[in-house]
Amino acid sequence: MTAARPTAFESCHAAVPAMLFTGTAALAALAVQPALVAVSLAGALAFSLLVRGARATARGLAWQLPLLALVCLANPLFSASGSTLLMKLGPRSVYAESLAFGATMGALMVATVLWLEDAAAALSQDRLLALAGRRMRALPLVASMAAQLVPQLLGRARAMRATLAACTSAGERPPLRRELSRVTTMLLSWSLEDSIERADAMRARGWESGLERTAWRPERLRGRDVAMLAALLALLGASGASAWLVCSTWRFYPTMSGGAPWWAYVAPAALALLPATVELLARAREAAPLAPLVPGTNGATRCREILARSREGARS
Amino acid sequence: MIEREQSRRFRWLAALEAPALLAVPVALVGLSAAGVSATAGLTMAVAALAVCLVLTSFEASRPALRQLMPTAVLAAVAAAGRVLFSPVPDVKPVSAIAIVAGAALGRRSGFVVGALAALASNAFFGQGPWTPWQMYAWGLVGYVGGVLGERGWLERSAVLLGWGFASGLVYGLILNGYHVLGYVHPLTWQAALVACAASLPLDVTHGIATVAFLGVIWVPWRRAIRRVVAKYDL
Repeated sequence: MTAARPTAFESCHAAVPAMLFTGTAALAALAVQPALVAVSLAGALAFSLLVRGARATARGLAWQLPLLALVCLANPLFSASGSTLLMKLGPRSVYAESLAFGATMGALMVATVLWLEDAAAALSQDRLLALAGRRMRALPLVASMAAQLVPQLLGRARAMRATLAACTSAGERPPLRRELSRVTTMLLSWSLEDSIERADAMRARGWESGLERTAWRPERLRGRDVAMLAALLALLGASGASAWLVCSTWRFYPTMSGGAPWWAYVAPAALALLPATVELLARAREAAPLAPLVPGTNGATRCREILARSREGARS
Repeated sequence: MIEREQSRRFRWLAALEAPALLAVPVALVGLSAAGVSATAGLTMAVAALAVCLVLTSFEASRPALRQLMPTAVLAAVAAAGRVLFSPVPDVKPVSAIAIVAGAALGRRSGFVVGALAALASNAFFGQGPWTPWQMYAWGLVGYVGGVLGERGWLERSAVLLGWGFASGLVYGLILNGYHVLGYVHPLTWQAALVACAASLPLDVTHGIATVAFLGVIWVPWRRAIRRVVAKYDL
C-alpha cells in the first residue's frame, strides 16, 4: 500500500529507506525481549499512523491484534513452563512467564508486519525494482509483470464470471469450484496470448540484444545519500550490538529477569523511532513559514529560497 | 570471457540450490532443539536467503524470453487463483500451478512461479514474517515438480498425483513447523506432534485440492503453454 502523501524518504536515494526498513524489520524479528519488542512496535505504529493514516492502520490492526492474541495464547497451551502459576485450564497450567513469552512473540510478529507495511508505504515498487541494478533483467521483469498482471487478471475474472452468469440460456450455473476452475483456465489462455504482444514489444525495444537493461537512472546516489547510509550503518551496528547484549542477558524462564544496562536500550530505541522522527521533522519544515524579509536580503536570495522550498515540497 | 565467467557463476549457484533448500528445515529443527529464543527470526532469515539464492540462480541461468513470459503469466495466474479461491478454505491452486510450471518450464521457473505467486498474492492477504516461508514452501513444490518433470517421472500419473498430494502436506509441515518451532518456547516433541496433528485435516484438504487441480489442469495447461511456446517461437 502506498502512502496517502509523499514521505520524507522520497527526497533521498531508495537505498536509504531500503536499508532503514530492512534494519528495523530485522531487529524487530530477531530481538526477542519485551522492552525491545515494545519499542519496535511503538516506532512502527507511530510511522504507520503518520504515513498510512489512522484509518489504514486501524484496518490493519483489526486482523493483527487477534493474531497477536492467538500467538500469545498458543504458547501457554503448548508449553507449560515458568514459576508464577496464573490459573489451571483442565490439565494445563498457565504460567505468567509462558504467557509473557507468547505476548512478546505475538507483538514481535505484529511489529514485523507493521514494519513491512511501513516499508511498502515509504518505498514504491518502482523504486524498489530500480535498486535491483541494471544488469539484473529477468527477475525484476518477472516480478513487476506478475505484480501488474494480478489486478488485471482479477478484473478479467470478474468480467468473465459476470458474463457467464448472464448467459442464462446456457442452463444452470455450475458449482463454485467448477466455475472457478473454468475461469482460471480461461485466464491462463488469455494471458499467454497477451504476453506474446508484450514479448514482441520488448524485442522491438532491444531486449536480448546484449545491452544493459536501461541507461536511465531514476535514482542518483549523491554525497548526502552516502553520508546518510554511513550514519545509518553505524546506527544499525550499534543497535544490533546493543540488542545482542540485552537479549543475551534476558531470561524468560524460570522467572523473567535481565541484567542489561539502560544505555543498551538507547540505540535500538533510536532506530525504531527514527522513521517517525524523520517524517515529523520533514513535515515541520514544510509547514514552517518563510523567514520574514530582513533588510539587506536582496530579491535574488529571496527567490532562491522560495524556489528551493517549492522544489523540496515537490520532492518530499 | 564474460560468458565463461557467467556460466561458471551459474554452475556454482546451481550446485548450491539443493543444499540451500535443505538448510532451511535443518536450521529450523537445529535452532529449535538448541533452545534458541530467536529461532523465528533466524530461520526466517535462512528461508529468505535460500529463496534469494534460487532466484539469483534463475537470474544467472540467463533465461530466454520463452521462459520469462510464461513464468510471469503463470505466477500471476497462480496468485490470482489463490485470491479467487479464497472463499473456499484450504483449496488453493498455487501448488498445482507451480508443479505444472516446473514440469513445463524447468525447476527454476517452477520455483519462481511458486515464490512469486506467494509474494504477489500476499499483497491482498497481507505481507508478514510468513511471506518468506510461503515463498520457500511453494517455490520448493514447484522446484521438486521441475526435478521430477526433468526426469520424466511426472508422466506416470501415480508420481504426479502422489507429489500433488504430498505437496499439501509438505507445505503444511513447513508453515506449521515455522510457527510451532519458532514461536513456542520451550517446546516439547509431544506439543509439536499435537500441533501437527491439529493441522493435519487442513493439510490433507490442501493435498486433495492440489490433486484435483492437477487432474483438471495438467493436460490442458501444459498443452496451452507448449502451444504458445511453439506457435510464436518465443
